[in-house]
Amino acid sequence: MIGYTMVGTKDLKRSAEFFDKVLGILGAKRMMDEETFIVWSVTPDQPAFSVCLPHDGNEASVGNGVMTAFNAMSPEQVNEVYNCALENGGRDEGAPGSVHRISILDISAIRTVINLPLLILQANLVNNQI
Amino acid sequence: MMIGYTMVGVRNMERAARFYDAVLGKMGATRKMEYEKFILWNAGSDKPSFSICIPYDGNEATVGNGSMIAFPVANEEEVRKVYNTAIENGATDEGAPGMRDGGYYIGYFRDPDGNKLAAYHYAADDHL
Repeated sequence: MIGYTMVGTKDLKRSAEFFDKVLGILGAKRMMDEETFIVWSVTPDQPAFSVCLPHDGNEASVGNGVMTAFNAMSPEQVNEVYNCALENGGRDEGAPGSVHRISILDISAIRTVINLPLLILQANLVNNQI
Repeated sequence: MMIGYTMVGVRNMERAARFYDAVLGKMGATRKMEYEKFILWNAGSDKPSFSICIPYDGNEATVGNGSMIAFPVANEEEVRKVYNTAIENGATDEGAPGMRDGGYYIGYFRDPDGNKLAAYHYAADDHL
């Protein structure tokens, strides 16, 4: 149902370097690399993630409530992704932690989120629960 | 599956839920989780999910410029069906269905809260 998601960036080169490293841990690589957007995916038949300079020419911004969540293969990989993000300019929004039963409160609590000024992502281990 | 789920913020859960029931329903998705401030849809437990929320920080939901979620569908007719369903249910147009650069047949729209979405068919995906 989801083909690709996109977030805006003010600095495509900086974003590209960040996501090369972070998504690289999940096995993703650049599938399209254009002047105004870059797309990463693991394989062409899997959903892709992309960053862009906004189409309308205005500055990129962050939407409150907007998030893309990435599946990791193990808790160790969650930590690896999270740490890599922080080492490369990401900002903590909730350290990695284990959640086995999701409730609305838990969803907030599990936000293992990586936050660049413009980019909010999540890596977690709840791929079967949520 | 690199993307597990995506989320957008909304200001009115009931309005947004009705909108996404209609639009995502066209793609075979149904509600799989439902809470006071969070609803999640998917078309199967092994597929990526789409969700809406009242933002966790208590501030009003906003739209990110550059943010978009794109839904793949089976053919151009389905693109038009999804787009038209969205418009009939309160979406605003951001680019009517048509062939765009790169061989994408795509229609763009915004949900009632302004989040940008697209339905598309990419012929090169047909072999997948």
